[in-house]
Amino acid sequence: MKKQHRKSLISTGALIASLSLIITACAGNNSNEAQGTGAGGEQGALPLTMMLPTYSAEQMNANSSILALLEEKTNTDLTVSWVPSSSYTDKLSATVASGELPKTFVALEPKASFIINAARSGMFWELGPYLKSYPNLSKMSDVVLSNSSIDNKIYGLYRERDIARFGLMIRQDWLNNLGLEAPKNVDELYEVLKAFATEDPDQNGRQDTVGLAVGMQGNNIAGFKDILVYLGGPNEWELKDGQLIPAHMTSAYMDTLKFYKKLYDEKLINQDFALVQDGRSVMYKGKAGVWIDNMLDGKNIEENIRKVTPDAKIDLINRISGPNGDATRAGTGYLGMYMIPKTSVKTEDELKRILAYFDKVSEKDMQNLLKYGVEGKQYTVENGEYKQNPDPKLRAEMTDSNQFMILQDQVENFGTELEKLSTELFKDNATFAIQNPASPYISNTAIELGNELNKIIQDATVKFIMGTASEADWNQAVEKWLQGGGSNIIEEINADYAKSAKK
Amino acid sequence: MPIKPSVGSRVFDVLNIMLLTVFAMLTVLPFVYVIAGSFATQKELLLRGFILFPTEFTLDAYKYIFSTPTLVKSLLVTIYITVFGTLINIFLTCLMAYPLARRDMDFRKPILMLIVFTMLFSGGMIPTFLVVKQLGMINTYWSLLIPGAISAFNLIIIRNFFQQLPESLEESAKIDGCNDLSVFFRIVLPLSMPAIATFSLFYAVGHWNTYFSAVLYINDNTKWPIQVLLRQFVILASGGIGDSTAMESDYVSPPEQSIKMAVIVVSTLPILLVYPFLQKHFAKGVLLGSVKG
Repeated sequence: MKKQHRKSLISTGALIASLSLIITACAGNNSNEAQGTGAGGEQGALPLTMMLPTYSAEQMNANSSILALLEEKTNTDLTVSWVPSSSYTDKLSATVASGELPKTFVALEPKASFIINAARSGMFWELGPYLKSYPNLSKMSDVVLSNSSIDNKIYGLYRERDIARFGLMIRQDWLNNLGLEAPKNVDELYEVLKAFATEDPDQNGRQDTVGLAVGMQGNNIAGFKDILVYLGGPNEWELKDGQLIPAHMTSAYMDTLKFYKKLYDEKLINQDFALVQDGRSVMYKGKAGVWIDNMLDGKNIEENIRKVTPDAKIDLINRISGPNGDATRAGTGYLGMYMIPKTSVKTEDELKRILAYFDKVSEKDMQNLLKYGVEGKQYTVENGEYKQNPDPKLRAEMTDSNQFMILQDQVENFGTELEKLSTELFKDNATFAIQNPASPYISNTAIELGNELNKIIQDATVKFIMGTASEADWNQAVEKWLQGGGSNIIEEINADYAKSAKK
Repeated sequence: MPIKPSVGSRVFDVLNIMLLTVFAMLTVLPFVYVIAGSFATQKELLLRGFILFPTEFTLDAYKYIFSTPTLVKSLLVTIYITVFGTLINIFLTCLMAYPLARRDMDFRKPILMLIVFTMLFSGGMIPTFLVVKQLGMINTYWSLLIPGAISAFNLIIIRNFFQQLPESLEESAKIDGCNDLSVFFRIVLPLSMPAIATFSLFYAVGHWNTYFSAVLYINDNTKWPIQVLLRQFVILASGGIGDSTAMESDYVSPPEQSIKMAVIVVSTLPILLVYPFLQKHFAKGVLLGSVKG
């Protein structure tokens, strides 16, 4: 009996010992953490913590030479916390709610409700008044600043992107095979699509090609918004007689619906488009002749088609004219913005030092460093010819380095023919791009219900194109949209518009 | 002499076998497709679409994903979380379930009510995040192990399992000089091995699939488990980046299909291999204990 008792004592003791081990292991872990962040950081260098989205499976190494050069040039000590782009907003909303934010972070969706609410509650520094005292930051575009503003105040440094990047990626080799010219207007585009679908452009003796590759990119039908603009429609919202109207309530939207329906009925687009997640895959297979999206993608599409058809060639077209002449869709001109929270940056002095860092990042040599890497390491220029270093280790050092960039106005135009061409076409696009007049304005209903409401419109659009819904059904869907909260969205956007128009 | 089966029963057998074969194929084919795809070339994947056996066998995808230590590192992280986490889960779950199974415990009903309450209502993402932060577990593996240490559902099933053990067994152990702890460790636990094995597997699979909590709580990307990496690969491959409604997404060239599939294979195979060893316990039935209780 005594023996039994001792045994149970021993097992209890072992339990306590293992528990305490667990606890001490935990504590040990924590203290390591503290040392890790506390150490380093030379005198004078500004310690700067930041949270950034990553678009790669593998992140930039902490001892990357590019990061080191960035720190040296800007006299900072950077601690970067990378978050996968796909869950970035969730993580950010939890971090914002906890109040423990890094000194600066990128808000990928500055119009998300938690960012707007936090900004309205005074959580972030208002940067607008400071920008003019910095040589590079003062050059930021007013249009884009206004697009990214919240309640007409500038809370963040936007990360510049070309304002209009959409266009056609077309199989040049197919055009050559059929002896066709590149399309210049919507009618010619239709003719080319028809020829691509019916005249065997890949010369394999079978009718197994379509004109336009279409997929559901997220919730949107690929190319739809672009063709809407080509046909004289608005970019998301139309400003008519001082009133903002959503695109799907315009007559051009109906024209686009009918255009797509015609393409579908005549089998000029892939018939399974509603099920295709990424329409590019139809291009990759060499089964489609045209893809409409960000023209930067052209190089990648060409590379992929060449795995199947080695002599494929992609050309880019940016001007397709319709009833209102040349038109293309403008984006917001930025992708996310850097915000500086008051909870972690307490003094104005520190704020100014951080802004000085961003100003420095926008200098010409820094822009090029973050875009192309170090000359002689990640790339070389021989006889004016840009060459990328294929060494994967060196390339890995600049993973996501462009996430640090703010302005991109002084980046050299390096790259392949297609990349250079796309950069030129972006500039051309900017001269005639149609802006979304509603992008600076905020509708709380849209933030809350926007996605669900969009689904109504998208479902009806797909059904109309596939012929399972009539024009009456479509009008019914629009009515459903209005009653489900759409009329509130229109009201709120217009109220916000009226407010800022007065100023 | 065996009875000759009737025509009807033979037809039934044939139909049954055919139906079950179709079901088996439905479950196995996706795996075969992914495994075959990971060994195929990009060209074949694009042209043939659905591959069950690659004509051109290549290890390129695997060479690529193992060219850097990242994948191996996150695989090790996941193994660590799975093994250690499952131990914590099972230990704490049994430790809590046993007293709740004992009829002589005070406040048994209210405690059970509280547990069931957590099955219906949860604090949500942000309150949980705040708690984890206040406990100082951000950026440590504890944040992945402690918050979900006891699953209410598993706890209740294990409690029911404990409850169906005959009370007389415990009484006789006590007469032989066991105290409560030794009854638990020496009598109850050994008798519950089938249930423990089954729930170990449930917990282990849960840990293996740790994704969202890792993204939320772990800031240091060298500590990411494999699923975070897998999702990066797959999301990039489908091109669904950024907010498609408002923002113009930045273009990122997606990894090849075969690489995506190779990552799926590497991240799924290890946990798949655990099943055969626990299968015999499954045969006895997970909820066996609860039916009698």
